[in-house]
Amino acid sequence: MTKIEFQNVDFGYDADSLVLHDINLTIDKPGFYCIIGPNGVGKSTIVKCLNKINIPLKGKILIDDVDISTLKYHDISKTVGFVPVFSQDAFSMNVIDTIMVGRFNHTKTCTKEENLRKVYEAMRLMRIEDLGYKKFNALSAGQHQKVAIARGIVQETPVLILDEPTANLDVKYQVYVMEMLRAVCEKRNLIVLTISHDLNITAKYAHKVIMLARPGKVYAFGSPSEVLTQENITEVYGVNCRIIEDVHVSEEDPDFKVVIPHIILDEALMDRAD
Amino acid sequence: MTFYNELEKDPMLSKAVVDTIDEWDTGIQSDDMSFTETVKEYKRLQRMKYVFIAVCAAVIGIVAGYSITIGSYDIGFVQAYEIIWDHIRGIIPEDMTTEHYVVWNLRLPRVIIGVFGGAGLAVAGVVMQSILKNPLADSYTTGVSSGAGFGATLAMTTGLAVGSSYGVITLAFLFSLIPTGIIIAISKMSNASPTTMIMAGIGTMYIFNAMTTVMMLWADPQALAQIYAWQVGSLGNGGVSIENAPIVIVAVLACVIVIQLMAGKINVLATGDESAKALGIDADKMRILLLLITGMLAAAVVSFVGLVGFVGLVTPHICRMFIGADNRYLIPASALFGGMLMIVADQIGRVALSTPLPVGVVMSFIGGPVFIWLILRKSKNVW
Repeated sequence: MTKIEFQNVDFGYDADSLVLHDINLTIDKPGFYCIIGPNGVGKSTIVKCLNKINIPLKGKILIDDVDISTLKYHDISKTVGFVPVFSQDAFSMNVIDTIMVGRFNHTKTCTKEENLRKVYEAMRLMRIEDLGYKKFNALSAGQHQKVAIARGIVQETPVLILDEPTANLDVKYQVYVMEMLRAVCEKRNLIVLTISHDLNITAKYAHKVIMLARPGKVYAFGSPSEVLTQENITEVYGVNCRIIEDVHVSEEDPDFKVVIPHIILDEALMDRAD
Repeated sequence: MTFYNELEKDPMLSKAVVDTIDEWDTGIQSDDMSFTETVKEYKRLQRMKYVFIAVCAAVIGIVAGYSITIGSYDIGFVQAYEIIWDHIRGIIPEDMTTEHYVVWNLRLPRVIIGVFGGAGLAVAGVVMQSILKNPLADSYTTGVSSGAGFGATLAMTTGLAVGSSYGVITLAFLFSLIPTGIIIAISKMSNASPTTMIMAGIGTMYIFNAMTTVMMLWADPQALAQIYAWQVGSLGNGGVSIENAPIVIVAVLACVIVIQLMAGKINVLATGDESAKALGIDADKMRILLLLITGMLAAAVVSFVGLVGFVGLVTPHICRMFIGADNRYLIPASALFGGMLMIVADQIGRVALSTPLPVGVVMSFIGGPVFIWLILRKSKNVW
């Protein structure tokens, strides 16, 4: 089982203005983890530290107790998969080949047919199997997003990071993607780490929520009902809100209960200094 | 609470999603028709790519043979290949020495250096465009051509070019490496983003062009004519000889083979630095390494044939229109198409008018409009 650990991590694009301050965080159980927090608080910055895209100025990041600064990009990529916020490629390939890039680390060990099979399975999961031979640049923003998620899934890494996987998706697919990611974690025993802006969808589908606050620190980490409280949301986001708790009980197993906070956002506290 | 394999119990998951996940986890069944269709289509598209590559190779074979038959001394198409084959095996009949000389020493170098030079410039263009994520990247915008131009001008104005072509070739090659060096140095100092690198290339290009202009202002008319001819780029240049052919062949083949072996990585790099790093590629190092190889490849070609434009910039775009942006196929396809374009244009330049036109001019005259027509016809999201 994979373990991720941040130990006293400081990061900034230059030493004078730190984006992340003394981050300590341990993720040692598979599940669906969502990072939330206001704009500019370092949500993308923190996940990019896990791939050495961002290299901390201070502190250590450990994956399975190994300091990643001692690892090569190639070694990390076998454990941690990352799909950045979608970008239009300068020269686009068709959808199948675009997703196939995610199989890069499997090209030596798998046959072309096997890789094609994995790609097609992921496309079917994202309901885009009819787009296979469309050029990537000819797709809509929502379709790009689905292709990007499929590319993340075919990497088959124990840890998968998705930067805003529901951006550009319609409501139906926002719900579907979050629910699907939760189910994928449970099925394959993965750690999926995403960045999210929608508090209610996060509350509903995340196993654990990581709340970041200014100036780039972990404010709260726990189950949705522990983290998404009225006080925390008002303090971190500067928004007055009410919470209605909703209890979901499994039909199969009455002991299996999930408490979901529903957040009703009332007013933004614009006079408060952030 | 363990999250693992609690799908059926999890009250947050609907039955539909659980079923979808189960289906995904089981994998595709062997009787799945839509998957079979997808594989069939994938293989068909792959075959089309091979067909495109084969057609380019065939055209090269035909045009090369035809090209050798053209000239004041009458040699047939089949005969041309026979002579080449005999010559390679060392068989030169007594009564055929003139034919052998004409084919081997006069006409063949033009074809060989044309094919390999075109291939080299086209591959350099493909890679530069992919790694710099810029459709306008080629040996001009990365400064390689300007460096070579300055080197050649220096050799011609200082008299180093008198008697042999090696002064020009050597200086052109050495100076064409400088812009690549500057780009790499600048990207090391600030950051190695593709935009920084192409800006550095263009900056360097202006500096070298200015220096070349100054040299030309000071040059005597005879050197000036020589410089001018070299800058247009031609397969009639002094550097195009049978002695130099092996150098061009080895340089181009070596670089293209190394690049082809890295084609899968170039695909990953083309998806962006962050995604490349996440897929296990050290994007900055890889880009610098590839820039170094392509810089040397372009330098090796232009120092022999002069500043031939168009082929490096446009060949990759034309090939992308036909076979897509996958570098594993795009690199060999562009190599062959570039080689083909070069000798076809050279051939047209030789026979179209009473005075031969240099290959660069012909390519731009015919290729430019054809290229614009292709853009208009197939504008759908190639870039």
